Amino acid sequence: METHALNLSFGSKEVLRDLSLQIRHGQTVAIIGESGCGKTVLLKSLIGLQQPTSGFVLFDQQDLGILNDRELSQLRTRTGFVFQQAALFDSLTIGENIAFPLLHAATDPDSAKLSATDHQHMVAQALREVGLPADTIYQYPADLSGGMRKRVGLARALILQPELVLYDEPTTGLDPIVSDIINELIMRSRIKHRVTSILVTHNMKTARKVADRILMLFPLERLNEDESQIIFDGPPSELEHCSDRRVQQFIQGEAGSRLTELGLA
Amino acid sequence: MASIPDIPDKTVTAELPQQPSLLLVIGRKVDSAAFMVGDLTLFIFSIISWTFSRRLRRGTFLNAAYQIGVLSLPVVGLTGMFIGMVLAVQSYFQFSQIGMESRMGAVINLTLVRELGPVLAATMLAGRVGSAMAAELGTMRVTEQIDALKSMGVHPIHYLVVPRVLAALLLIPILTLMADFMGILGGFAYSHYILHIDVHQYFEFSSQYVTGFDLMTGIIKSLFFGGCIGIVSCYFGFHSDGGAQGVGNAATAAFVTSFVLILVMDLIVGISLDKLYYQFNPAGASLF
Repeated sequence: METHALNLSFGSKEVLRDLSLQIRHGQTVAIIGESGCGKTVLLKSLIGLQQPTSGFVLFDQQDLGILNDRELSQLRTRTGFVFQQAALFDSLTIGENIAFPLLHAATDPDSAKLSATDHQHMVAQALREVGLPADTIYQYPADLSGGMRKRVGLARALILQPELVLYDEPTTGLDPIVSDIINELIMRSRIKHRVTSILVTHNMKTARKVADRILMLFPLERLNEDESQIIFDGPPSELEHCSDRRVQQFIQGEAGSRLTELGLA
Repeated sequence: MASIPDIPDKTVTAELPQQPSLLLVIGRKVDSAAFMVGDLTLFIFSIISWTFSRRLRRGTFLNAAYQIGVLSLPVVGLTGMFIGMVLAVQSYFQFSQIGMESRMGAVINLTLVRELGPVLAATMLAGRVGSAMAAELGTMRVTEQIDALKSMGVHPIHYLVVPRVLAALLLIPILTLMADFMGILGGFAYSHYILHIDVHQYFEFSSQYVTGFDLMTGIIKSLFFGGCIGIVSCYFGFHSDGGAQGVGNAATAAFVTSFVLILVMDLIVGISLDKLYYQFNPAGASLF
């Protein structure tokens, strides 16, 4: 996975500027940074859910910008995405939600030949992997807690055994115990399925525990013209030793000078 | 106890943003209208492309057809019946003054099959199904369910929009026939049982004036209405943003736009079909 000179704006608001990065196969990368700095936008642009204004994204040496809708759809069956609020389909049961990629996104001929019984077995297996009881399949998303919905989202993202899984704030809004369960599941999926994982998070505990590389983005409106938007790129162990005041401020969760900037001091 | 820091009063020193000029406001409106027309055109092309390029996914059409067609039948039938009865009440009042109440059947049935049947069925569809479709797709948009579909390699136009547009397009003629039938039934029942109009005369005059062309006019109009409701409702839902308020706005915009377009198309298609008819039948009396 690679981005090169990626720029993305919404109207006159510039969100990503000249962003170039490479992510190796099997790596787990956590993208951290303040709210509104473009983390989710970057995550979505990695599988073409957001179109860059300029620059390109390469997935397995294919430039997403030149693929048509059908080619892009086919490529996305090799990826999984866990959304912030899980984004489960309200009108479908949990079982149908998890089986959805099998039924609808399967362009692989082997996958298409799977019987309904095979689908049931795969859904049951996926539920076991995320630690949910078997009878959950008959329930609807509205019947589940936030943590359970996140786990269903994870099961759905992993059912096609993707090469790349993207997580958008997987532990936001969850209590510390459930957050740690999600962390464990992310780590297990990496070990078991050897997937490349990219997660956007504000939770430093998650970033430190799960990732083997951390990227920190900084909002463009508070960045000098000649500065890179990525203000930290390295393993979690180096994060504490980073001399950049902005990085330390973020990981320690101290507002400091931001209060003055916002006129609240 | 720590004291809460004073928040500086910025309202005194901060400059108020200048009001945009009227010309700028009009320019922005025109710009956004032009953008919407272009975007809607691309949306329609995308629907057409996905309709013919790939088979519909299992169950999606049947589900949409059930929601749009089957569940709309009772309400369309009921309103059709009452409109037929209202027409009988109103036309009796006028016709009885000139002693022509025996011809009420012709007026009621002609009005129903050419105008009120298709317009009423379309209006009910826009209100019952159009706003619901816009709200459903809008909710899916703001809760990232549409992004989730894309992320799984499913094209949302193909999965969500095509079945709904096809169901609206193909089932509205049936709903129109239902509205026609129930309207005719209601008009006849009121005329015969309450106003004591003779059955034979009622249907005799009706069959003289109401032709197959009139029925076809209504059906052809309904196809335009159905396509319009499906496309407009899905477009507003699909492009909804701004959370709960955005979803509400999408549902309202879907109904209002569909309703206005139904009336505009009713006029245009009605005139076009009449011109076409009199092109082939010059002996017929034309208003144009």
